Amino acid sequence: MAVNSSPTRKQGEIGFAAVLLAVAGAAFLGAGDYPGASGTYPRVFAICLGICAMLVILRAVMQSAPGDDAPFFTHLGRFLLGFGVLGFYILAIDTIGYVIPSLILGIALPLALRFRDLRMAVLASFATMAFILVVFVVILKRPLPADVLDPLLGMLR
Amino acid sequence: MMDALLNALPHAFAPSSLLAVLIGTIAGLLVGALPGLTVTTGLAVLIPLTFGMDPLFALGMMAGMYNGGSYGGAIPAILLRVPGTPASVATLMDGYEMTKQGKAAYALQVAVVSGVIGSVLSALALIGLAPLLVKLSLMFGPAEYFWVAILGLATVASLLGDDLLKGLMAAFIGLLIGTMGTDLATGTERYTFGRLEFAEGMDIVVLLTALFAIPPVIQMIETAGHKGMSKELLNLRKQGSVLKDWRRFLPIWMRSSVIGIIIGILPGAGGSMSCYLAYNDAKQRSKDPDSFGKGNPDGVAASECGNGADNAASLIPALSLGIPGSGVAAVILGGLLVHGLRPGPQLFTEHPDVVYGFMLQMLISAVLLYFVGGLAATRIFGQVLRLPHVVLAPLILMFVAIGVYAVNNSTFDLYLLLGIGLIAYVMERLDYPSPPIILGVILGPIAEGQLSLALTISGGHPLALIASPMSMIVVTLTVLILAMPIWGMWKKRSRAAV
Repeated sequence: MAVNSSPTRKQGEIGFAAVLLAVAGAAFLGAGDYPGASGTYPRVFAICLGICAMLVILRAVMQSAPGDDAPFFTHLGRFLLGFGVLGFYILAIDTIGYVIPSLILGIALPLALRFRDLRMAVLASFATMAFILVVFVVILKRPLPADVLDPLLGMLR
Repeated sequence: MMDALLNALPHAFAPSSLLAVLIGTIAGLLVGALPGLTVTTGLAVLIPLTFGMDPLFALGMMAGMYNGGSYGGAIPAILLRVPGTPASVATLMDGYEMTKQGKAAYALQVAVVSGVIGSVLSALALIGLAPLLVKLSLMFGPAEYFWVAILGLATVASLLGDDLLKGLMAAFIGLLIGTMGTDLATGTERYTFGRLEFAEGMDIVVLLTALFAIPPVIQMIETAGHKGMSKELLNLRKQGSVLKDWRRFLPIWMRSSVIGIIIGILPGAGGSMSCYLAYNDAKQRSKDPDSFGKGNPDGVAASECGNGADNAASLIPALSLGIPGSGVAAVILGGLLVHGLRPGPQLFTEHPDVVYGFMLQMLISAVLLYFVGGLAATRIFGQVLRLPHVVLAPLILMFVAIGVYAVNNSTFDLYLLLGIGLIAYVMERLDYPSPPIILGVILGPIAEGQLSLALTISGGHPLALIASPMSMIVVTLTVLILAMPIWGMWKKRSRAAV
């Protein structure tokens, strides 16, 4: 997991402010379609956001700060792993339901991060799942995402 | 009033009533502590179950759930940086920093004691001052509410962090997000991108969770810590007693309680505003305002006390006039109706034993919270921190996912969580503060709606906004709040020049 091509903090600062500037521009133009005060109100905030974003870009370009050349990500590989896992987890919930992806996440993520106490990971995941099912399904009767285990979960309700 | 109160005393302190309050408080703590579940959800589930029960037993559970849930939100905010409610964002700013410094148990104790004091004073205000405070709330029209929202927004000055520009940008992002959804004045759909999910704007729970829960989870994965917090760091005795430090906190508790009670009785102003105002007040009066947001217990005390003080106070207009001061108060009104109790002035004459019994139950639940909340928070919830970060991170994601899904029963919210979470992570890396975003989202729509209403009523005359004495008072307070940091900076510079 040795991914090291991280942008610098300064690049991140300028890049993110540029994205906000673009968002402010889009919000300003989008608000043009709204009548009267419905459009004026968000336009004012879009202008303010845009001005601030430009000031941040100018400040980052013209001034230099001590941490400017530091890498934006402290550990790019693990950052990608974290967001990748979260993305797959949400996709899996949408596809096969909540229970199985959650248990896999609770056990597999610690192992992927070289945590070797499998017993603790398994126990913690199953205990958390049991607690969630008792509170959300049994007591509060809240619906879970459509799940391949729905016939089994139906017995809890 | 005294006769009614004395008649209600035996009912409120009956074993069955005490049991109901205890059950409600424990359930409220649980509901408040779980991300995605709110006191409103808990009450909505509870009310149908209480149908057919003795009204005072049912109301006791509701009172307990209200106070318990209100404090419960602080537990994940302090321990995991996952705010259970919008109100706990102000608690999170210093509470989580204290946890990082190994003072989690002390932070939880500050939160529970402050919440209890705020709740007790609020309950006393409900019992003693209800008729008087109702008159005060009736002096507020749309123009006054507009200025109250601006007053709340002015507290952003204390949340901006070290970089003024980035703090302002965060506030503008929040205000812009707050414009999403249908504009009630014109019926125009703004920034909904054709999605029905955005018709009522961005869901605050999804936004809160994404902004505050995802970045620390990703950081836990990045650092991949294989060890949890040591048992000693969760041992309260080794971290000092909040009650022994009462002299330090007393002025904060008093001021925050007054702020919470005043905001609570204003219908629609809501609990989160009282937390921010109380936090802002504590910061501005502090001799060391720079330590706020970096683990100052005064911040936790102010926020939680303001939050607790809002609870019973929001029931004052609800019980006296039938106007709920908050969403939770609205659900409680529903609960009263289920039991055949019609809120309004006649409630005090037709069912004085029940209404004063309920007020006493609010007081009892506030006191019970000290024992149940303190014990549960430090002895049970606190133990979560003993898990290694690599194990804790996926468990938080499990709670966050089900909590966010439960808000609208929609997987769309989960994808939204992922997108906003990524942006929140980048913002955190670049030192953009997140609390101003929440403040903008909450107060922006209130300010816009009330401004529109006030201008419509006045036929478009802007001077109508400052026509009443109450408006002038709130405007003056707003100017003072905005001027205080500038005054502080000027004083600092003058001292440095000397």
